[in-house]
Amino acid sequence: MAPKYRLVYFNIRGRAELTRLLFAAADLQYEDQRFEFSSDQWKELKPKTPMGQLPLLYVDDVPLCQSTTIARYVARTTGLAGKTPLDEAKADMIVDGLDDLAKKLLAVFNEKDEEKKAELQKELAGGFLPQFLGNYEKLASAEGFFVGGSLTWADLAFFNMIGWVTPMNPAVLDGFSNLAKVMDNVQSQQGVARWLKERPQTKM
Amino acid sequence: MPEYKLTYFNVRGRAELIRLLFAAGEIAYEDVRIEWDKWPELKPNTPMGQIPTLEVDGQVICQSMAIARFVAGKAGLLGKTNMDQARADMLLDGGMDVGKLFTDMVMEKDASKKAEKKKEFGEKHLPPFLALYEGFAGDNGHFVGDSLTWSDIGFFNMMDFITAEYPGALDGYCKLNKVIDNVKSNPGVTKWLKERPVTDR
Repeated sequence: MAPKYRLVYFNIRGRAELTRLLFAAADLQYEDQRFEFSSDQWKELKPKTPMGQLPLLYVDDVPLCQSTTIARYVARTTGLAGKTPLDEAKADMIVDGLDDLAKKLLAVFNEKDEEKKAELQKELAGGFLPQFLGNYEKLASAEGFFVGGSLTWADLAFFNMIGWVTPMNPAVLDGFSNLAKVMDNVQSQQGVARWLKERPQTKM
Repeated sequence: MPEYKLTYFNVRGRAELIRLLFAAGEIAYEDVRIEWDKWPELKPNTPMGQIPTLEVDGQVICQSMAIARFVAGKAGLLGKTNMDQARADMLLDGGMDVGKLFTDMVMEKDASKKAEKKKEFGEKHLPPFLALYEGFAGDNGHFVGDSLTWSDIGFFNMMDFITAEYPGALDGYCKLNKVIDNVKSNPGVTKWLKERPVTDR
């Protein structure tokens, strides 16, 4: 009997979207439970969760927390983690490296002072981002895959992260042809394409 | 036989968990430690401009936890089922959330800010973390299932750093102390702890 999956998070893409993309790519059924931020439901649930945080993935009532762990679990379950231990390590490396970019993006989003925010944005666009993308361009193949010549969660994770950059910087992948191909491969994958059309449109 | 070459600075830092896992698995590897002044010329030759890196039969991977997970797999220490492996991942991730705050405190250059951060970490962040993890540990002194996994070793490694600043931190935590004992008494780990270079951090 296939287990029952229930993903619990806020009504945003945030730290759950990679997992949602994985379920979609694998065409694997799950319940996509979403709370509003200050809901009573979350207040009630919080003390009963492993670490007081969301997202959570219930696998037949057994809760898992930590967003990357959840995504990796679904990736492994659906054959999207990599075909060999070394491929899995490469995928892990790509996903972990994206965290560095995520930190910089969060610093920009969280900055309340408009002037400082513009400064951080400029630094990101002019300094960190080109360097980061330069490294990632070398890690992606000309066919548009980070690992093993076929779709893995590393490609989905990259696609998901760039989704937070393009509103600020639409031409961000100009000149990075391997990375642009990764985006194409992910967007055109059947399950992902359907999810992108159907998913709730949220700001974050 | 695959060839493993780990490259890092001559400190424990982000490589020590990897070294402990090689030791626990009794897997031979080259433990390359570079001097700070050699780093600028090596940096552009790494996948993301960072170390540690692990070279496996000529292919290079980076990101310390990705490397550690790979070595844990080779050592048979990941966890027996997908769920067990996810539990190990989850507990390590939770540990790293606290580890980041600790590192932030240790790296603080301003002496008075550091004293403040040290007090805050010791009073506000560390106790709830240890209480939580005491709950996660089994009576057998393992975080996952009934045998040693890399999540036990990761906890040991982190507490090795933390108890250097907060010596009595684990007093009274029966199950956590059992985890530490289980890790220390693994033959490969025992040997490594005796032989490893002694470094500040």
